[in-house]
Amino acid sequence: MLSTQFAVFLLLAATLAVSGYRFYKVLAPVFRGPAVSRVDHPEQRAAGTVADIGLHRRLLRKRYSGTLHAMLFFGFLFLFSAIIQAFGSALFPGFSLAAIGGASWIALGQEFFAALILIALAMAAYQRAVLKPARFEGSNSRDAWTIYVLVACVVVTMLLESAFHLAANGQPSAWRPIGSGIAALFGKLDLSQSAAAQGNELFYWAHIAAVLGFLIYIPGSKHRHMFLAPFNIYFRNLQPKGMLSPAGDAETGPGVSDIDQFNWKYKLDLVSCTECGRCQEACPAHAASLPLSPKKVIMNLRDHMFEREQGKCAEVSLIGGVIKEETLWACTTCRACMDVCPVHIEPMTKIIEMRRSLVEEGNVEPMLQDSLASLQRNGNSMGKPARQRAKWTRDLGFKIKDAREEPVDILWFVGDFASYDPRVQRITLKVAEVLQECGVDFGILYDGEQNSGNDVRRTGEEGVFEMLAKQNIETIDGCTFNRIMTTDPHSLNALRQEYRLFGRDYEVVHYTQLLLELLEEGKLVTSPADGSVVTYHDPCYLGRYNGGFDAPREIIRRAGYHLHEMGRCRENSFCCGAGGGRIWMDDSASVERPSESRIKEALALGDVGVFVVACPKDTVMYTAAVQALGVGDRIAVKDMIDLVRAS
Amino acid sequence: MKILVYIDLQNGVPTSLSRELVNGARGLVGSGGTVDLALFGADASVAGDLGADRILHGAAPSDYTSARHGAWLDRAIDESKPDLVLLGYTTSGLDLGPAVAMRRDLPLASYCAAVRPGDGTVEVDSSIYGGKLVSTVSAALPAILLINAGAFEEAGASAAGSAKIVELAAPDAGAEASISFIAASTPDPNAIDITKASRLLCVGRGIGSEDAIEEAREAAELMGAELVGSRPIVDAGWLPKERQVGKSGRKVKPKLYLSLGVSGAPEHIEGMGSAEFIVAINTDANAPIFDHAHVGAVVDVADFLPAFKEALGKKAG
Repeated sequence: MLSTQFAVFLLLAATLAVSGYRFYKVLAPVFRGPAVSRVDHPEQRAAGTVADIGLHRRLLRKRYSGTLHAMLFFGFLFLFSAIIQAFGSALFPGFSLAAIGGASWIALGQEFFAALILIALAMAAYQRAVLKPARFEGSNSRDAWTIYVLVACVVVTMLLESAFHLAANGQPSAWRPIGSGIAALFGKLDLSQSAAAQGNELFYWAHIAAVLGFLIYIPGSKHRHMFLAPFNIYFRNLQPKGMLSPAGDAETGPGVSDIDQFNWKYKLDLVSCTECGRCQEACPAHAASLPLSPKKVIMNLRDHMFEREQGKCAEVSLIGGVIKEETLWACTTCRACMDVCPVHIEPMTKIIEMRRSLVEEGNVEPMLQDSLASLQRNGNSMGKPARQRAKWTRDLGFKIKDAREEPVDILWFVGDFASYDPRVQRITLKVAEVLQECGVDFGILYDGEQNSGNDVRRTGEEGVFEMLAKQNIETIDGCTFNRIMTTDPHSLNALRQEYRLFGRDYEVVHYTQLLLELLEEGKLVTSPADGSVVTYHDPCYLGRYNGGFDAPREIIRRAGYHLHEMGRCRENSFCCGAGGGRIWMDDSASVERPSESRIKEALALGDVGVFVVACPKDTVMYTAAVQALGVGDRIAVKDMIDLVRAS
Repeated sequence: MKILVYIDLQNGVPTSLSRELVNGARGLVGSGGTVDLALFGADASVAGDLGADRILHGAAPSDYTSARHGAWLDRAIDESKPDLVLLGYTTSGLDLGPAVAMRRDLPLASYCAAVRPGDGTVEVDSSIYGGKLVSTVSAALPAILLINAGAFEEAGASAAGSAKIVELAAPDAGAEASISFIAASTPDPNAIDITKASRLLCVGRGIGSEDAIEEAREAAELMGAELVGSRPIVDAGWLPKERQVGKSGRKVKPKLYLSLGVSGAPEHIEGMGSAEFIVAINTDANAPIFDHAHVGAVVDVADFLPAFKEALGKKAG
């Protein structure tokens, strides 16, 4: 007969071999993926990984799920000691953790965390069966339930093994309250010591079987994230958030049109997905019932990658087949999906890569086509002549310096909507007047300015982006200035982050930053403070992308308004729906426009009469939303500049 | 000279382009030549007044498929043995011409604007690059030509019954089996193209309620205009999408554009700003629509519409 030692060894070796092979099959396409360098700054990578996992930073943004995950995670970390004990004692006769407290504090800890895990499992089951969050829609629920059962088996067998052990020895332990409790129950049932010993033996093997079964199951399950997530977080992208990666090389052309063109990290993303659906919940396109769920993009890419590995679906095209074109065009590039992902998966950048290849094929959303043509011809998306860019300045009582001709302190990059859109021109004029009255030395580029290209790049049109960026850089480099200022977060992002692609590192500030400085210097006072209640919408490209959360809030506070935050604020802000080129596309497929959902959110606060924005596109989107909803009598859209005036 | 003309049918009668082709063929063959028609599906009498010598009739099912008509056209060519086969530069011409030319190894010229038969050859002018260039080519006879509309004059009706009707033998059943006819669908006769209307009455958010749409529709009828709307109206489901004016709807340029309760967002202006005469009605004197309107009035649509209808009614009466 096999000795226990040999049997456990054989089982463990066989399990590790099977599990290892299954992991190898999952990771083979990842290892084969095109190169991308993700090993720089090891300290920063390690610190972020430890913080994200150890503190559950992103997970705890959802309190219920985050808490239950923390209970499971830390429970499992501690129960690793029980697994070591189980396998160690079998493989190495005489092995015991007793010397370091295996029978005392470790035992107590095991019992405590086992209880914690069981409570967490109950919470998870309650969430999945009763609460049913919408974000789980489309996730593999059978996989989740299987894991709950396996985890329960691991924990329950461990508890029963120790209970029978205590019963067999006839000695309850204060360090094992649960085990002792169950053992006492056995005593009442008149369980003989020999039967208890048999029970001990049975549940020992059951525990071993549960652990090994778990190991074999894991590689084929979304729960492999428990092994892969740390790597996925460690190898995350450390580039500035607003800087997209360069578009392919001369050989493959821009973008991705085949799953094999995704680099190894993008593929690691795919196999690390936990299907938690936080991205789906945060996605404005999904909320508008457009055919985009970042989660399903990742899941579909993953499944396609696996099928390809098995030699299936060779003829299925990535774009149009696996991922629909409407899905790709639906993205507003608000980055919410990437910011909420607990394991740092990047759905959005993959969408942009696929858009790049769509554009390369000349396959562009029809309305977008018109705007791109205008951008190429006129340098703006509005179909207006370039020479009319500074036409708005004619309504000023003074002439703004031409920064191309004389040195200025502040170079104001005005942007398309602020220059051309009549709804925003009023605000642009006011900004100019305030700057002038405050004695700011500023100038603009007049018709030398072009669209910054921020959203052009996000539509996947690298060529037009490059053209616009290079022309702007040439103009800007011919000027003498200290800082660039813009009211437009999209331009801010392009100038500050994207132009790094061409070796430029401009100091760019948002006007809210400059206004705050002027307030602090006393050059600016706020409009009469009436203490009325306002809410503020964080623009994606100011907040999430560039961390500009506080200056606007500080201005609101100093202006004497009471800021009533919407639930979705700061990092969690909800995109207006205009970004990533969406403002140029047909949005009639939306069931509810994100901008309208947002206005309803503000109205639901109950006491808010003013919706404060700090982005020209927001002015356009939200005035249209207020009008479409017919709620102009209840809420007004105001720009930041409306809250201040020169002293 | 002998020419075979393929007859396109629409609603069971030859199209005007087919009539042009027959007339053109008559001129080309001169007094000594013959003109045969290839007519499939309908009764042979529908082409009786076109002035052909013979009608080569195929008793084919009336439903068009390229395989079916291609097989019948082969039969007609076998019977007629023409120097030239003329087809219109139409969907069916493009469908049949190249396929038959390929099958019979005949030269083919398309976009033909002028045809000059010579001795054993034919010279044609083809409009290429959307008509920007004229390319003159020649081909050995027999040849197949796809003729542009307007290349020939349309024939007047000649004495009916002068053409001899020849019933063609049916082609092999297999020849037409590769494509099967499932259904024909015609465009919705109620569907409209608002870009073609010379007068438009546009309603916007300021119209107030859905009930007012009916009143606006009556006014539109009275003034002979199509009723259209701005985005919020279409969003609300009060008008169908094909009646939306603006950036995400249609871009229109009517002679008269009457806007009721439209504020004039830039996206709307983009769709109608170049209308010839714009009349704006809005309660808000600062509404941007007034910057684009030729005339306007600051008045509530609810007050304006009944008065406007009454005035129109008086004029009509």
